[in-house]
Amino acid sequence: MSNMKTERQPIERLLEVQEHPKQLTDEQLQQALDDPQMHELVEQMAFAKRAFKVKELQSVEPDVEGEWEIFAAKNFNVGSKTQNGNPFRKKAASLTFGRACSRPEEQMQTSLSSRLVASFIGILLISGMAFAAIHIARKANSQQAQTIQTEQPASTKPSATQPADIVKTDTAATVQPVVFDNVPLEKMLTEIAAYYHAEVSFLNDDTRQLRFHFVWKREDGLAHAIEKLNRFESLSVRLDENKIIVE
Amino acid sequence: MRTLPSPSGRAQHSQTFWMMRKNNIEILFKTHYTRLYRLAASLLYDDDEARDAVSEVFSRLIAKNISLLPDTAETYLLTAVRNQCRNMIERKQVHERFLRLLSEKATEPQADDNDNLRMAELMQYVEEHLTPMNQQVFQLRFLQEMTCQEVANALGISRMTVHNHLRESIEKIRSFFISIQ
Repeated sequence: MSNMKTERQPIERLLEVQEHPKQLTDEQLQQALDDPQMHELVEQMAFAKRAFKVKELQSVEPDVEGEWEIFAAKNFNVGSKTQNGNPFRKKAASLTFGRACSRPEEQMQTSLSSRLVASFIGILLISGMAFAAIHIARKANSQQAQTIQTEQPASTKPSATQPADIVKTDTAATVQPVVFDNVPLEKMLTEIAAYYHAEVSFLNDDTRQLRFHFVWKREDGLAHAIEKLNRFESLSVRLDENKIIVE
Repeated sequence: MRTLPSPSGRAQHSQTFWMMRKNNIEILFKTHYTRLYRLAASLLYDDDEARDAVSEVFSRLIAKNISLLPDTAETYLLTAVRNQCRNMIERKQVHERFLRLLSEKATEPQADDNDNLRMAELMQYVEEHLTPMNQQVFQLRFLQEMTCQEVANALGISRMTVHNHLRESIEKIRSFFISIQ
């Protein structure tokens, strides 16, 4: 019986501290964890949690294509040529294109302009080929051919129709992600906000014309979309009640 | 005499190299992503952090211009993700590590095949010895990281009952570890 009590003590202690962590300071908690019995118990529980998680993950299939889209947009953007000439290095400015480079430090990168133009043309050609492929595929599926353009004047009004430079990745009945390809932030957020009946506010006008490649999954919700947008280094977006605020 | 390529030739060469590099990374990414994501998620218990960890590893390949051989790519990437997870856990405060039961030990390189086998044994033991309610309460409290009160509300039971289920589950899990010692 007393053995059972001794066994239970660290378990009760663990449950107590887990439920009320603020009872202990960092130092006190560290001291508690340094106790060999508690340390062993915590490691065993961590292992058990991991075992449950591993089992759960066996049926989880991540969206590899979507993750690649996001990764490629962040790491293989046209503007990712940096001042030291490394075309692969990640940089905040990598998310801006040509005329969208409204920040003074970007405008000063004149020595790179010719390379940027060459890269930009390259990407445009590739984008053109991709759009053409999508266009052909769509045409094959439907008699209603749709014109796809890469450049559209930005609009601040929420539009009921899909902008021409927004390419849906599929025409299947299920909700498919929307891919914004080289679309100004203002236009992109206006579209997203309209869907969730939210407002958009730009604290800095320079950010309105930043262009991004962004995959928007509408079913994920507004908070998740904002969290994904914040992964762009040059962007800080927050949600204040029903208002999307771009800092 | 060797002639230098024209500026347009250099740009074209650079563009071609860039596209080839992108294709190589894309193949690696799409081939290994699922396994790497699952590893990271099993160490960090958080979907967003797991995706960040994997993304960071691939970003580093690009930044450091590292090329991987097909035979060793998976081992390299798994080790890199494990190390990335360890760095992320180390950066967390002691309270968060404890509350979320994050373990640096789990990120050690040798903790792979042995751990996988033992985890399978543990889950078999859990199925046989923990009641469905034990398991559900354990999952909500530790996997979903809900408080005892939240678990009680979700399941329509008292907070004390939640506490009793947790204690019972932990005692049984402890028994498993004692049995394999």
